[in-house]
Amino acid sequence: MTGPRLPRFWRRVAAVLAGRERRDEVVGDLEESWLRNRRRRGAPGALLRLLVELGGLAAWRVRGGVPGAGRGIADAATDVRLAARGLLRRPGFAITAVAVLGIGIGAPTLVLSLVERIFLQAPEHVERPDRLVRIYRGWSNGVVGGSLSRADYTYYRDNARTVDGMAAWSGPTSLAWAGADGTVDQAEARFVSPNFFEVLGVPLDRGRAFRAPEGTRPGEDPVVVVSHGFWTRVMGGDPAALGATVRLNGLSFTVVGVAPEGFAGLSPLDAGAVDAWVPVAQYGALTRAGDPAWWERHPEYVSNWLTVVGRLAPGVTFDAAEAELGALQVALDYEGKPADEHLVLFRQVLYSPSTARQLASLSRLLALAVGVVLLVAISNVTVLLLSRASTRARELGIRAAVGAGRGRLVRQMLAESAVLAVLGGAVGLVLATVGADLAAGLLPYRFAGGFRPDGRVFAGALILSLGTAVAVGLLPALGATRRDLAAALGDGRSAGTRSRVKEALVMVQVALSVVLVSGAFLFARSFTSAAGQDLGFATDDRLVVRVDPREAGLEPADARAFVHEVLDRMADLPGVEAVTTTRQIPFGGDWSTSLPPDPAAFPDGPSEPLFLGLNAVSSGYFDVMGIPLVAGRPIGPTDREGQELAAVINRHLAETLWPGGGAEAAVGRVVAVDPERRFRIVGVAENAQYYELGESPVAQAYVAQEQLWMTPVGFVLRTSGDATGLAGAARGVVRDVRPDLAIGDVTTLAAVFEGETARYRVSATLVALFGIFALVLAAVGLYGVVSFAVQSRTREIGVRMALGAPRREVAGRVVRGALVRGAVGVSAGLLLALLAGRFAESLVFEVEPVDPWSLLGGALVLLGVAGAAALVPARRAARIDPVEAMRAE
Amino acid sequence: MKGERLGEFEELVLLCVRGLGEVAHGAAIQEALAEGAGREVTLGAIYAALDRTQRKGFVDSWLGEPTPVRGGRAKRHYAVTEAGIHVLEESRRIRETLWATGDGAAS
Repeated sequence: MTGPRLPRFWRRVAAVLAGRERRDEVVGDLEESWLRNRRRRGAPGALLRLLVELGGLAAWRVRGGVPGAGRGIADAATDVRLAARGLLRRPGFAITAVAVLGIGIGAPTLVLSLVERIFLQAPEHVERPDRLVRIYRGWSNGVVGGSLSRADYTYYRDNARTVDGMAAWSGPTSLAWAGADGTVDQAEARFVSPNFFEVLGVPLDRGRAFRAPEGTRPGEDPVVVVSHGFWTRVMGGDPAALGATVRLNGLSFTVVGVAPEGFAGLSPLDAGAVDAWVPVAQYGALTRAGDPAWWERHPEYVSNWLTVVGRLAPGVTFDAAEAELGALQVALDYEGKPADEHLVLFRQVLYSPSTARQLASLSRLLALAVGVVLLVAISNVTVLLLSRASTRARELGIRAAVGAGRGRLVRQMLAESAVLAVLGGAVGLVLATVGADLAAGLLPYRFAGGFRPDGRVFAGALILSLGTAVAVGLLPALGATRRDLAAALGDGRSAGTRSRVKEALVMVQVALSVVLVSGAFLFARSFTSAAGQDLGFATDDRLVVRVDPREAGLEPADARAFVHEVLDRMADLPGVEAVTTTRQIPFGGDWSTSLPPDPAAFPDGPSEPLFLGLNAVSSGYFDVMGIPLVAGRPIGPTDREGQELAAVINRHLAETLWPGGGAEAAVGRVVAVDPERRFRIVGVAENAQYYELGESPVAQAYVAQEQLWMTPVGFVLRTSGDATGLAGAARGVVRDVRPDLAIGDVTTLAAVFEGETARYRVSATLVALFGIFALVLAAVGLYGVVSFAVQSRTREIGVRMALGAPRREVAGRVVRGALVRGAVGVSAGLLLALLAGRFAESLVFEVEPVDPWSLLGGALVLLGVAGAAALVPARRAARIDPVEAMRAE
Repeated sequence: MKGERLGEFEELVLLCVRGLGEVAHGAAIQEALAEGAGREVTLGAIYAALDRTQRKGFVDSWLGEPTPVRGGRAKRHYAVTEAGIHVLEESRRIRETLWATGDGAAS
């Protein structure tokens, strides 16, 4: 046959519907019929008719020759249509139910997707990540997570039999990257063991990974592998860039490979943050290490800066590897190694133990909050459907009376539930998608390409809500059809049991809401307490510009001159009151050492080495930072190279070394970090927070940058107001002085502080958000129950009013009833909140996880909501006209 | 055959099959129903009715040779059996008797 034919797609669909045996004849008939329809009604009409035909075929096949069974499909369609029409007639109910279900589906989808993204998603491009283990040092005080030194790493790599390969990488180091055209970019680099890509099993996108003996000899074979993002962004995605020579911190390197797209190491949080990988042996050459003399004295052990992962050898279990490495660890001994040090292996390879702990507690909190919201939503929908069933009892009764079968009525109620669940699912999907973007912006973590709701999780939530809706829909449908017809027709009063179930469910909602609302108070208090911390230094109007003179290849003498010039020029900027430099940015990188016991200098001091934070600062530091001195003098312009090394220590260190003597006793004393570095204490400063928000006082010493050269250098500007506005001018100064220097962070101390409080803000925001969800749902539930009670007691209230009860008392009774319900729920909720407290333990800042004020706040809010929810029904009750009420029915 | 009777739709389908004779197949029956009885029904409904009447023994069917028409696909042909003709006539007789009775009463 020539001419038009039924499109192949439809022929296929029809063939499937017809089944193999009768395929030919059926498809033939269908095509004939379709051609006829095309002639008569045109293409659109034929298509419509075709869809009907396919439905007919499906019905015929499903029926399978059993007479009548096929009617189910047509009936189901009718049920759905009727359900949709019924819901449209009661838009208030429909909108509430769909919204509640949407929240119930969307919130868990969002949170579980997030948890999945954080913990379960295997890192891209990495081969068999389940066979990798992270290796850390731990100590008997329970602290785990010590990185390894190069010596540790080399020793284990060469001696371990249970681990096939061991790779190591450093923390972030930024390098000045000068391309062929001379432009300078900042590249975030990781120093890695040469076998890094090989051990992780990451195939390069182009070029090659490091190759022996590259990366084993300091300063030789300067090669670099770049990330795909850096290659496209900075190198223009030019294939010729492979093999090109670039300058890193002024040294020539050859680009040998490009990592696969999206790869930035194991942690999803690193995504987009790593630009280049450089063999670890180049570290010294590239960075002209912070304190060269020190570095050279302990080249191997001094710095524990490597994160190590190993790939388990075939057939080796995690436990076997841990046992073997533990034994190896005992064999490795060096001067100063703590006796209680031991190796700890982690199966979780994506994050460092501390990050993993933080993420896990955040995830637990979210899961708890979402679980609670889900329960509230489910019980809320149940109440809604139960109420609806009550109000429809009459309608159903009439329909049963005129001959609608029970099955048919049940089916119709189910159809209504299903329609609600599907619409709720759609709303939930939208919520989860929008929420994913919000969450990606809100969380203090960055994921590659943000994250999307997970399809499987959504399907799970949808099935759950569908199941709930069907189960909930089934009960009232059965109840409605079982009831005595006469009774149903006679009056619409609902069975007592059902309203008791509703009351109980509403109390459950109140109780669960108490948990979330008091949780919201708890986290708000935690955040306020974090944000209101006295840090011991000023954060307002302080701008910080961080540069690393090593990146331009500056030797210390030139670097000094550079720093002086920048200081002078910055001080001249309008709006700048004072400028200084600091090695440490609060809560940022640290430079610590240990102070050995010294009975001669401090006989009453500690007999163990003492952790000592060491900061190199310039003249004016204490003034600019707003750290008060309690004794002596600050680091000043006289503390220059060649003079006696000066130090200001903090009050905590003074009190630790000379207990009882106080700050005054410390001034003038000499302490030695090691034989070459003996400092005269010239002053004592008030304690401040340096490493972690809310830390207990840490021993800290400030030395003169001029005397103990440390990099990078942070310029701190005290401004007369607009610190952020000066960022451009400050950058300009650095650029003018050294155009070849990449400028690192330019930020304000206020922003640094804000970053530090971010996780408390995030917990507070999230819990508050879920608390509000729960609160709204509970309010809806309470309102529904109270107004239903008023409605069904209209007559009784009318009688009472006729007998002389004042309106005020009638209204009061309604509100009291709501408050009693609320109080029962609140009491249960307080118990639950006590139990839930421990979930919050690691997430709150200087607030007890069981905080009486927060519990009180949660209880009061819920009682307030209960009272408020009763106001409208109470007014309605007060306006009941006794005559009308008694005449009705 | 246990005294099976015909549904109204089945009766219409059988009548069409009878009327179409040699050329009775799904699409033709559908067209005949549309034109003769003004009933737009799906092929599925027709197959279902034919399946039932065939089980009752009122209809026979056989697969024709593939023809170039319809893209080389075979047609299933239907024909009314003796029993089918009988039941159709029976149905007609009942109707006519009833009509006659009614006519008599009216006159």
